[in-house]
Amino acid sequence: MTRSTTSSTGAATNNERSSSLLDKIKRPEVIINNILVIALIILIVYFSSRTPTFLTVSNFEVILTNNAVIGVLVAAMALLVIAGHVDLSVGSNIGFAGTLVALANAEWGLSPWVSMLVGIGGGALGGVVNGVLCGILRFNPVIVTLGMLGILRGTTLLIQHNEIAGLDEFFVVMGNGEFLYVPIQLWIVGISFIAAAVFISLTTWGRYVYAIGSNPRAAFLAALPVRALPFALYVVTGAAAGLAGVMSAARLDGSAPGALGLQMELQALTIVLLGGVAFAGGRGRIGGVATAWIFLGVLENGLTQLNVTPFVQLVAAGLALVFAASLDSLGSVLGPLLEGRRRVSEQRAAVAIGSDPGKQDDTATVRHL
Amino acid sequence: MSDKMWSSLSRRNFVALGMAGLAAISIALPQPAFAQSPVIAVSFPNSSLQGAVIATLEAAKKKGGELGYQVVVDDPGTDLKKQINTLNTWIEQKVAVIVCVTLNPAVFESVAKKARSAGIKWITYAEKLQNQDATVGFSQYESAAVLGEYAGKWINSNLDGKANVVILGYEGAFWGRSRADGIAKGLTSVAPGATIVARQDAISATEGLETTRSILQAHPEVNVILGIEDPATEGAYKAWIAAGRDKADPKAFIGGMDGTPGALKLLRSGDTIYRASMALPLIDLGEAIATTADKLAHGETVAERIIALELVEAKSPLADKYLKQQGIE
Repeated sequence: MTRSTTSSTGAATNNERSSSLLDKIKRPEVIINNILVIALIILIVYFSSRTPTFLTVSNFEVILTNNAVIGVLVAAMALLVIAGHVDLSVGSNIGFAGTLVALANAEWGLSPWVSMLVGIGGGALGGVVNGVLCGILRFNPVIVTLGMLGILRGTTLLIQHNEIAGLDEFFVVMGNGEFLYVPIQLWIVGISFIAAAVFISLTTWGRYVYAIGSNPRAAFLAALPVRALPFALYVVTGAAAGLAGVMSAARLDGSAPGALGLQMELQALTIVLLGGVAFAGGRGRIGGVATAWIFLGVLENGLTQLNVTPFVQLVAAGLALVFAASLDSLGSVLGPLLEGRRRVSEQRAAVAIGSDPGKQDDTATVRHL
Repeated sequence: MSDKMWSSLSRRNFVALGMAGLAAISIALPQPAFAQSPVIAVSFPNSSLQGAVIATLEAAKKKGGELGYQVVVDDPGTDLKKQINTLNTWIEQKVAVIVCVTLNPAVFESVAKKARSAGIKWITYAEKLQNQDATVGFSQYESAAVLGEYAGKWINSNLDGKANVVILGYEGAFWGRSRADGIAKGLTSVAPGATIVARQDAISATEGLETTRSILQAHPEVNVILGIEDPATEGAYKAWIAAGRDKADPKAFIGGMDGTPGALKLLRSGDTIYRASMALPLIDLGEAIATTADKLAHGETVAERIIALELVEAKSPLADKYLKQQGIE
């Protein structure tokens, strides 16, 4: 009797585990992220088969460092989009911050640390303006941040329209140096992704981001910080754009005010959406965004290595955006569908258990244990 | 006070404050005098993004002012529709002369024809249309070919005529294709043993850096990089250093076009692999815009006014000259 109870208990636990795993697999985020992971693996296998120089450690270092700047940006921007907001001024903010740091160091003679703070502070200032207008006053984020896109680029060119070059050695090390055999820019992007993931997964305010993004009205009625949190996220996104500007200036040993960060807002939005974050907010994971970040980097590097004509590369970049939009819609459709199916199967299981005394006993044993 | 009410009041206050601010600014700003002088209207995409072009247009404004014209500049970015709309507005305003940068020349034939029918003189910048009065500028293809030929001669002298070459171009616009084709033609005509291993788009420093880093992974044997824009080849130079290569490698060559401050500073120092740039004579170009417009407005015939781009080599005093034109010591 004891053996049979133990045996049935073990089977039930296994059943529970497998059903829990199935439940997890059925979650739309998991499906969407797996599609992207599968696509990434196919892409890597394809490029590796076409050129022996693709699947090497040094090439992956190039892929990641080439995209480190945009990585820092999307780690923060993903949180903002999950909260149901968007910042389309980040490209100009990168140019603004990059020019400020280059000016501060090369022209005004400020120390590297102070120059860096000027750059990040300049980016954060742009975030404060966006945060007040969109987070607190609730103006339309698309319109306001598009306006800021022009304001920040224009302001940058008013301050300085010529290229600036010749930063301190500190920035040369920051742009191209290594720490513990890993490029410093990769440390920065790695820390950014980990910080964003820890914030959204392990902190109370991180859970608020999802709540505000999925239903701001309900979040308001639940007394969540529906103004303070988006404001803070705009400031963080602005500061991240500032840091990205500093990293760009460090890599280029200066800044080209008209070109630095140009159209990076679209690239960032593509990565965020491709990573499974819903444009309407409330859904998304930092892991998915990091996968999308690597996916686009691999695509760009592979096509360049194969010397594919730029027109085809444009098509590939466009397809990635369409793919991102498809995943967004897929998530919106699949989510409620899978949730409905899960509930129906739970009800069916409950009915089946109710009509089978043996199963009821087993379940009772398991519950008791 | 409810949250909604607070929000509504705040927005109202914000809008009211903004309106009051705008009104104050408009009152405080000096009112421009009514333009009595004839207008030379310049449509130059992305002009506000490039320091060198700004210097050219400032020279055009100065010279135009001396000749009694008001020079107005519009930067439509890369928005073709916006550019055409502005041109149509200028045609309605009956400006004296239109100077237009045509990213894709064929598209502008009809609007140029319309302008000329309205009695407006049409100057195409650095390109040729069927419906135009003159061309001012420089030849994209021939200038690029000079850079290609110079690189070819260097390859013959230093690498026994054999080299693996990367061309950083821009396939999205006619001028970009002309320049890249010119570089390729000039190079292979002088150094037929040189192999072009990659031809990719890159016109900004960031694009030049990222694209070159990827290309150097696929083709570590690359030793010559030529670009249609100096910012891109400046980025390629950074990529070369980031890949752990010698910045003064006697067997490597980087060359670009336009003569941007970064490239000219490298050429002035003359101790790196950045060995050439085809520099735009910025002031001469600006003045040519104004003087050609003036001649056309006075009924003279000027078919074309071509200003040659000048080859600036390493350690050449020309680097200093062009830096000074851009206000840089």
